[in-house]
Amino acid sequence: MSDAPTTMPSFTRAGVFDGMRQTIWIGIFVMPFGIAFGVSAVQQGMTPTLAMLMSALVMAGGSQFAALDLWAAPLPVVPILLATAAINARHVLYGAALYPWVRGLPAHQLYPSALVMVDLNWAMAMQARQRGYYDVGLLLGSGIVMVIVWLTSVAIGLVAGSAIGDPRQWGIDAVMPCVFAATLTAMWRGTGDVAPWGFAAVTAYAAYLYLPPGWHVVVGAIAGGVLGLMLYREPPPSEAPSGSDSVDSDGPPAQGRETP
Amino acid sequence: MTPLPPQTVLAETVLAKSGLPETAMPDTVLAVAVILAMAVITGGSRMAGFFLMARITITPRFEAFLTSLAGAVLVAMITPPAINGDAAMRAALIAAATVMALTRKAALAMMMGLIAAAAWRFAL
Repeated sequence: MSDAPTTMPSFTRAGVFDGMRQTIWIGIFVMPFGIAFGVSAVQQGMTPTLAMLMSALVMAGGSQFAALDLWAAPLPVVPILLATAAINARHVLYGAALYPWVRGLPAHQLYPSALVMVDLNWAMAMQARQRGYYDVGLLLGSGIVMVIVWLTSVAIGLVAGSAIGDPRQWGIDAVMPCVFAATLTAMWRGTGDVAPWGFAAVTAYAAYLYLPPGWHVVVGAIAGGVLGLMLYREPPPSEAPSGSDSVDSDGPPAQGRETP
Repeated sequence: MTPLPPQTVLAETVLAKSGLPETAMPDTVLAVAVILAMAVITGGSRMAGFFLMARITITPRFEAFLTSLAGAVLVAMITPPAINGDAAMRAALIAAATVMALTRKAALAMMMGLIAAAAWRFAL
């Protein structure tokens, strides 16, 4: 790696508190999603215990909404797990982009911090790296607050969900599609997305009509992903950065600021 | 849980009549297992970036696949409600995407989509 940082990362209690303090206010903006998940879980017939368990253990809004969308008896296990993997694959890119910030930390500090890495505190960590702040405690502290905010807001949604009456009248059935549409809008990078996304839409709808429940997500995702791979062109050699550190220095591709 | 579809009821009847011990997992056990598997996949994805970067480099080609995949998942989930949903659903989707494009605030976009759907249904 040619751009080795001159600063070694640290991991201190002060950094953890710093992350907690910075997240308490920003975390408020995540609450609508947690509340929406709780309300939708009630609507979909998922028990509150399972909804809280999923929120605590998975803590990834996008994949939780996707699982909820497919949540019906008999449970479509494979589509749910494949959708989870596909939606959360972005975390791999997040970790790769953040790696220069954490390089050299011992595993017992690194991996617990990684486990609470969500979109919001990953973005905070990337900004911290920009300002030359190298205390990885920030990531863990912020993540801990995110867990608390997420569980609190889901619990509020679960309580509100059973008191709301006919959820369709309030547009609750539109919440999940709207979350996905907003995330997708943020992910738009340009006309290069038209072909993979269009192909995903066509194949997903065909699968929705003719395959068992849930498989349209898998079919559309793989079709779009593979077409994106086939359309990918290596940048011309003269402009390409030399060496193998392009992921390091360029950061991640334009990704949606999805929650959490 | 939602009412069981016919094929599940049929399967349970066959099981009951066969006299075999109940081998089908109860719904709750299966649901907890699915949630645990989701947690392993998600936790793995969170740790994988650090783990892999210490060892390999993600090629731009693989990165292109992951990026297209992430968008395609969302497209796949939106398409059925966008096509089969009512006008209120389509209004909500357009409102959410528009607000997101203009403000880049995901929570606001979701709220506006919700309001669009509710307003459409109250008005008609």
